Amino acid sequence: MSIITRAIKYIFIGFCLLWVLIPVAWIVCLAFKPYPEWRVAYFLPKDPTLSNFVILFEPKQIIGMMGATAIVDPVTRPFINSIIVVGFSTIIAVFAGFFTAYGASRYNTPGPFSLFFTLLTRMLPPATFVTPIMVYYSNLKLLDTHLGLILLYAAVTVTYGIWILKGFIDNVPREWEEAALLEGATHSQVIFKVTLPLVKSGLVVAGLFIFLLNWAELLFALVLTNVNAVTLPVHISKYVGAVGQLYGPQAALGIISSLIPLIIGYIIQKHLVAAFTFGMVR
Amino acid sequence: MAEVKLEVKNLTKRFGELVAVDNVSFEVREGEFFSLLGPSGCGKTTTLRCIAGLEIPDEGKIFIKGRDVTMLPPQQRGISLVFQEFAVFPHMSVYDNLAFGLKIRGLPKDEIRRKVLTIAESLHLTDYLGVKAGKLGLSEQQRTALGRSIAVEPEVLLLDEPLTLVDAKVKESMRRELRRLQKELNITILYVTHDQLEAMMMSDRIAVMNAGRILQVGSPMEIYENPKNVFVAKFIGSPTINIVEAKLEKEDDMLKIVLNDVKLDIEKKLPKEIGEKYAGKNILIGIRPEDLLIFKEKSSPYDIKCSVDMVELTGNKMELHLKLGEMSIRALSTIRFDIEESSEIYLRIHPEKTCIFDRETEERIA
Repeated sequence: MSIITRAIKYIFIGFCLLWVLIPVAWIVCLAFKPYPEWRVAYFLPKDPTLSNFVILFEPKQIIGMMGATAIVDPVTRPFINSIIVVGFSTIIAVFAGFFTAYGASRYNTPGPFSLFFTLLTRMLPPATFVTPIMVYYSNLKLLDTHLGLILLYAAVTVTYGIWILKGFIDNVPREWEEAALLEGATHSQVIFKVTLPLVKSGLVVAGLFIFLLNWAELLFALVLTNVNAVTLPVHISKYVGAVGQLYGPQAALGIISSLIPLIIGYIIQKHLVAAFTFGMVR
Repeated sequence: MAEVKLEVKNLTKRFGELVAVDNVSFEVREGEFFSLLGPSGCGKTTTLRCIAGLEIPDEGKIFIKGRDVTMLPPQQRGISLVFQEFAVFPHMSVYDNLAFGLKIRGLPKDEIRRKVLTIAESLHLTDYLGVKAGKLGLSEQQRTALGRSIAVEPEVLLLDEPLTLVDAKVKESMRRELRRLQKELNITILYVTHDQLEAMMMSDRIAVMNAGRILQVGSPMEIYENPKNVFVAKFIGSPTINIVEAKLEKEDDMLKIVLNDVKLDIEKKLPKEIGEKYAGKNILIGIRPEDLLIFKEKSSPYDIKCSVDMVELTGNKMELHLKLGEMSIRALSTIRFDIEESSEIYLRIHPEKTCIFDRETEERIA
């Protein structure tokens, strides 16, 4: 009996894993396939090659392979752009979110219902406000700049920072802050020395969540950037020719894009365990 | 007399309709261990929070060392507070916890180190200095919190039921430790508790509170022996004081209490003029269980017959639950003897050891 239930359990888990991992495996295999194998339905490349990767780093060029052609820059710049834009916007969103959440949690300001409206930017489809923003940005000379994207990303994702961190801050007993106050700490010292360290896990979860959202964001970047501030998702979309897609280089780019999230995930994995118990700091 | 460290004058704090603290006044002198004792919700913690500056009182003034601090923020008052729970910063080591206030005051590093080590020594925390405070047991946590509060040398140390969650055995030794430390360092302590035993054991003076008011202030012995009203009498002492209703009669110009056919001579206890006022009326008599004498046989005309309801043996003493008519009475005996439940027994009450209360106001009359 127990063997059967166990077997069922593992089969189920295996199925779930396959469901999630097959696309990833497909991309990894595809990245190492030469052009003739791109559209063939088998996993392992018969004639593995690194050319898909090499091509990404070559200077501005017209890539053409049997009807699929594209004009692209090397991947280095979009890669650095992505790190700058997503990095800064995440830091801003997390800290702005923390202070907003702190105020909402401790002073009930601006009131629970008002806090709900911070979700407004997430209720509208981004496509509805990307055009007005493009007009503003054009006037403000923020089009195709890092700053423009950073501000927009931070503004749109700060609401996740607020909502995730509010849960964590609500769970920090006021006694700790009061004790610190009585011991002579000023209010800002209380926040930085007591509250902030106690919601460290929350900062990590919120940070990771916001980072991943922004890292994969395509629409805003596609509309608001052109040359200077192009991010990785936009860059990937450029490997589309007039007639067909360059699957191989796109898969290779996919792997390169996932490197940074993988490294970050590895560094903070010990926090994630604590973090997914959502705010249980006691 | 020692200098007054903390003075609370006519303090009132309302939360909406509820009057949490109602015109409370008291003083704590230097080096004194002063307890605010009362059932939960009696306003003792609110009083403490007003003194700490965590609540702004609606009326009244608070003076610390003669300085009006009523409207000052907490950090400028020269006080520390240890809470019942969440007292230490869990993300810091014990050392950093102890050093917290000192670091904020910007003391030089070596001085901080010296002070922290001294305090850790006296609180037996030396072995834990490097441990994260959140990983410690509750009693070590409370000791750390205490150390952190003492380290900044507050004018008054406020303690809000710091031992409530500590388990019984550790609690006893911590009470003694706290008392020793308090005397040794001559700390002025304002202690809030609902545990009468704790207050009795540690305090120099106790203020008994109920429903936002202070009912009585005095040394533990004063309060135990001369409670001002029925509430205080009942709140202090375990097992609880017996309150029995009886009639005060005047017979041959002598005042007597009539209890179940037995007439007790109360002339010595009750001043004449008060006795006159209450003659013929019902009164309440309070008598501590340990002040009752128990006899198996009737040996004097003053002995009152009771039936035994239940007997509890606690090892070194016996607690008897007795029935006197409709009233139940508890008696404590340090001498063990065989007695059967529902058998008969005789009680003798010494009028000198009783407290007499007005039946209506429940205030003490003698």
